[in-house]
Amino acid sequence: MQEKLITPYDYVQSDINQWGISRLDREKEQFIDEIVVRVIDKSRIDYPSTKLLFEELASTLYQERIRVTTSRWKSDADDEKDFWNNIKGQIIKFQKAQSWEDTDRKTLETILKKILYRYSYEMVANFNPRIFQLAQKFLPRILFLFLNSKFTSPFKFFYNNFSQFYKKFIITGEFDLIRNLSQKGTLVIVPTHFSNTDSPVVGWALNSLGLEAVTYGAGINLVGTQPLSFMLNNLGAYKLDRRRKNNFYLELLKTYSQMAIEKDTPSLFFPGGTRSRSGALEHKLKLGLLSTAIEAQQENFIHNRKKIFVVPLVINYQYNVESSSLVNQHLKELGKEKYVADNFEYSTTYKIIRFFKHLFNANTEIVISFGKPLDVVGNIVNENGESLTPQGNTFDIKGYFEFENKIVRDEQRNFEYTKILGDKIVKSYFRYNTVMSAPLVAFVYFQLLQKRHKHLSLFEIMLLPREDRIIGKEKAILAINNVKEELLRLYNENQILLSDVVKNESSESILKNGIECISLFNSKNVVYLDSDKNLNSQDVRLAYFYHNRLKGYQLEAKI
Amino acid sequence: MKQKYNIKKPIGILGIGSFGTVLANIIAEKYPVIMYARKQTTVDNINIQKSHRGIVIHDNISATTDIQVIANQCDIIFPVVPSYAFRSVIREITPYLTSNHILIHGTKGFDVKLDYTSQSIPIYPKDIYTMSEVIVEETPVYRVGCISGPNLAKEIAQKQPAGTVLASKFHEVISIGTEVLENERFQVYGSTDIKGIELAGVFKNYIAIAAGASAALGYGENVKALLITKGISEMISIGKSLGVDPKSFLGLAGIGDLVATCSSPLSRNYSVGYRLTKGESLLDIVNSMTEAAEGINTVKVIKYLSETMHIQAPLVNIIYKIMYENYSLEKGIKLLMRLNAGQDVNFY
Repeated sequence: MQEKLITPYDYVQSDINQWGISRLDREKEQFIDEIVVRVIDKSRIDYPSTKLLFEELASTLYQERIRVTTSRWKSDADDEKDFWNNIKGQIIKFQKAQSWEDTDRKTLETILKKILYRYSYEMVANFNPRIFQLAQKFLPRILFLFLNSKFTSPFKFFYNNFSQFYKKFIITGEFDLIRNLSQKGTLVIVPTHFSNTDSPVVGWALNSLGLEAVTYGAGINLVGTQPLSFMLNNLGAYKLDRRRKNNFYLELLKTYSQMAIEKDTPSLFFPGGTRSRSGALEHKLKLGLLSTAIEAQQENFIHNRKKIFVVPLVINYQYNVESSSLVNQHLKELGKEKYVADNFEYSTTYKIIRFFKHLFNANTEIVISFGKPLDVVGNIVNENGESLTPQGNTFDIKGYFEFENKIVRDEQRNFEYTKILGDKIVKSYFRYNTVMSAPLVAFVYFQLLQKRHKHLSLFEIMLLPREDRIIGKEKAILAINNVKEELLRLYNENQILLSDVVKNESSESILKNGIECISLFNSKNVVYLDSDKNLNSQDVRLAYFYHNRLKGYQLEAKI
Repeated sequence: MKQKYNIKKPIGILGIGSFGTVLANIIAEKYPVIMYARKQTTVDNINIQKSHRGIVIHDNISATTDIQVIANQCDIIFPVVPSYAFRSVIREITPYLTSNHILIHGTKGFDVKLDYTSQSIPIYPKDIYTMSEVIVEETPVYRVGCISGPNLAKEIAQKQPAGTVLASKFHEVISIGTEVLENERFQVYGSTDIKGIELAGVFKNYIAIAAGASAALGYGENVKALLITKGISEMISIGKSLGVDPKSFLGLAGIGDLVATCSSPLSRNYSVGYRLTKGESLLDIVNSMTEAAEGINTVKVIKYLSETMHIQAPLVNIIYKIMYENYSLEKGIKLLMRLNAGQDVNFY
């Protein structure tokens, strides 16, 4: 049963030095050595002949040299160019080799090692317990004090802290189960991804549950340039360079993630890859990093190490700081020449601060729902960490990696398991999605608008003049009634979650609350009541964006 | 790099139909086989008389009435039971199945949870389960495969050469299954498009009924070729609505199986069409058959599906009319001729 967090838990592991991420930080050098060895081993399977290895190295060099000259970032090391020139000097002599000696392979592997070490040191996460404690203690309080106009006295905050806080920051889930499993195995957290505010929000939620800090991938450009980069860089983020697409880099990244899990470091991926552009729940996941959880589980079985538990997490906001630029990108991709992009709205630190300010001052909240923990092939697990069959019997998933009781390493098989896991995560997202008033109002408004202009395409609807965007208030309330009835049915059948407003209040209050919240952040009114008390929108694209959040439940038929 | 699998445990077979029996014989040439039968008399036939359905049973084969024995002793199990009984047999063995098991079925039929037999109802793609989907839904087993192809049991029993397709999303299952099945007379082709291969095996059944009817009327090769080619084209458009790539229909399990079943009086579905046209009633035919002709149910499912999804499927409509509305094939062919034929190859 989903319960609500009222006060934060103590840490499951109170000694921060015993945390996986602390250990990883202390053993950084050894960790990197192990990763490099494993990637080199893998290269012997992927590129069995020296010629193939050379070609892959040459292609890496080629891509890197283009990147160095055409796309430079502030975060790039000063000696990037020199490094790759040096590699070029070492590789070039193999260019015209007709026959390959054993020693050539060794030389090439030494070059590869150099590249891998450079990548690894750039990537590796740092974790400084002191900075973590400092951030964890003061950051939310400072934010809270500065942003919350209702708290006039700082003293009041310190005495009356958390109950207010967790009314705005609603966390639901089976907390004891998750805390319990965090001791029995290694957690891999897989949240939905809608906004740049997701990372701090998830971090805070995990901290509230008393779970260890997680390691996660962050864009190197973010870590290198933002005002808070010093903090990010010391809080367990490993750094990804998305310009690097060569196979060695990708293999290194996957090995990094896999070995961090093997070393019992709780990890986090956003399996959607990037923020959801359309505003819809992720229904197709990026499987690359997800597959590292399964590969890690296979190795853990071989070496009798821990079980891995995957915890889906759904974050629901009433408004989204980046909605305008996200939906612009989505529509551009969808419509190509049919869509003329409007001006973009870029996200800045200032906007993130405004985001929290609205959160604390207006009648709105964030809902973070932990789904049921799964094993790496997507079965539900019980309080002992045992996997359950669809019929509810406990069983051992080790057999999935075995043939006649012996573990067989098989990447292709494991990738199929990753797809199964991905499907189960998506199901969990839909199951633990919380319907809030703003997306519900957007859904009803946009659906009614589409129904009113049945003959128009999506892109034509975006361009309607103001008078054609009107939807009668009575009609909207009726539609909210109908949709709500269906939502309550889904809720009672454990297929969705509802916010208190949606669950308990009248359709009229839902409409009022939704309209109030949806436009909090945006400069234009996404859905509003005009002077004749009819619904209208100053930006239909955004109404469409918020509306997408409720797609996939067949609610359209109720309007 | 191809992994070599060292198989030590016996291979399990669920189902004692003629195909299950010849499959057991093929495997028994290399590995010990345990067959599951509900009746003790069947078990005795296999264990003592060493003969079943007129087929001599290989010495490497034993039988049991205890389904748990199969699950406990075998990691690789071949369910070869008719589709109407498939789910219930799988449910019987489910309590004993674990993550270790690999299931490779040989059943060419659908499982539809709705009651479509007594009335015409809308059927959507989500209502139709292939046998591998039934296994994944009912059991903890993920490593699932299927075999499908022109494999007329009687010809295999006579030790004639044949080929088959083994499909699974898992390369591992294809390798292991091939290792189990392949011998000098039985060739195994791999495919990762399991749903496509399963559907190809199901769809061809109703076209075989039409071929049987055509033979009964004394029609020759021209009509048969027309039925086969247009049948493939219809299979592809229906297959697309169920989300599969048409490629698999063009291989051994598609065209290959279609050619075999449309030409052979040995095929059950073919003989249904043949006898219907010769004047027997469907009920009499079904009652007189010792094994299920999968095509009989397939016709209804596909007809209702194509209507629900607005797919043009003239062949299935004609066969439906022949089976349930006392239509003659002659009239059906006339109807087919009146249709606007349009483009020949229109499925790409």
